[in-house]
Amino acid sequence: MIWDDQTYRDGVDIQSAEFFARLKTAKTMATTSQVSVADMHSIFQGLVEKEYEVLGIFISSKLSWTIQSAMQAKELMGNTGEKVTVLDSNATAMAMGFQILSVARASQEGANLNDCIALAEKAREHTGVFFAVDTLEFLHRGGRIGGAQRFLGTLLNIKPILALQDGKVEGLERIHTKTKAHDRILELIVENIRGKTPVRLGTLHANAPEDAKKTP
Amino acid sequence: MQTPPKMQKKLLERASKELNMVESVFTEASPVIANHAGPGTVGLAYMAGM
Repeated sequence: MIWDDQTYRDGVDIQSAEFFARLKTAKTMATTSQVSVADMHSIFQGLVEKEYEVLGIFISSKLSWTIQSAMQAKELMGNTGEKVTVLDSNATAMAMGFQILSVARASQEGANLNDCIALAEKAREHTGVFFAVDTLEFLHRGGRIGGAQRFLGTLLNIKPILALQDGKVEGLERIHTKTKAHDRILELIVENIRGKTPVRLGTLHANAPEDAKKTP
Repeated sequence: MQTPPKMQKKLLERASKELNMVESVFTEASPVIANHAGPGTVGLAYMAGM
């Protein structure tokens, strides 16, 4: 993250609470950039030197250049790069998180690399994300608005419901009031996964404590 | 670690009534995600059927 000419590593040099506090009074907005090839290379290299095989599952290539850094880092490694496998999660947030968790658990239970790759590819087809934003301004400014751009210019009190589809942000519906938008997210989730079992869910919030207090 | 907002708890409670939920995770958007989605964003992610 780059803010006023300073670079911060996500969750390392800057935490969420600090980010939101600063955002309230900020005159300039932060921009973001993927992890550098050099950083990625040093992580891969360090793991391979410890004799690990590496399976890296990354944020959707349609949302971030992160996976490009990973692929370049792998190439830089020459022959030892064969020890590194790079996969596109086609997702982000806990949709990616659950893919990674299921592979990590299988690995701990003794699955080999090929099993892990097959599992990761399968897990990718079983995950999804639905979310509501307060405003499309942030997605628009960051260039991640995808198919939700048709909702631009939406009135203040109408909350767009979005989903990750094929690795990018799509606009689904517009809902009056935030509470109804939250209800609708839940309905969409239930509709999408009804009958499939077992189910793992991850909630995501971005500085929404006021919303929490308004819970019916 | 902060306490998950009530709204998230509520969402999960309701989801668990309708679905065979075996695992749930509360997350807060990281600064980078928050910078792209904006304050006030609320979402649910799932993995189902495996």
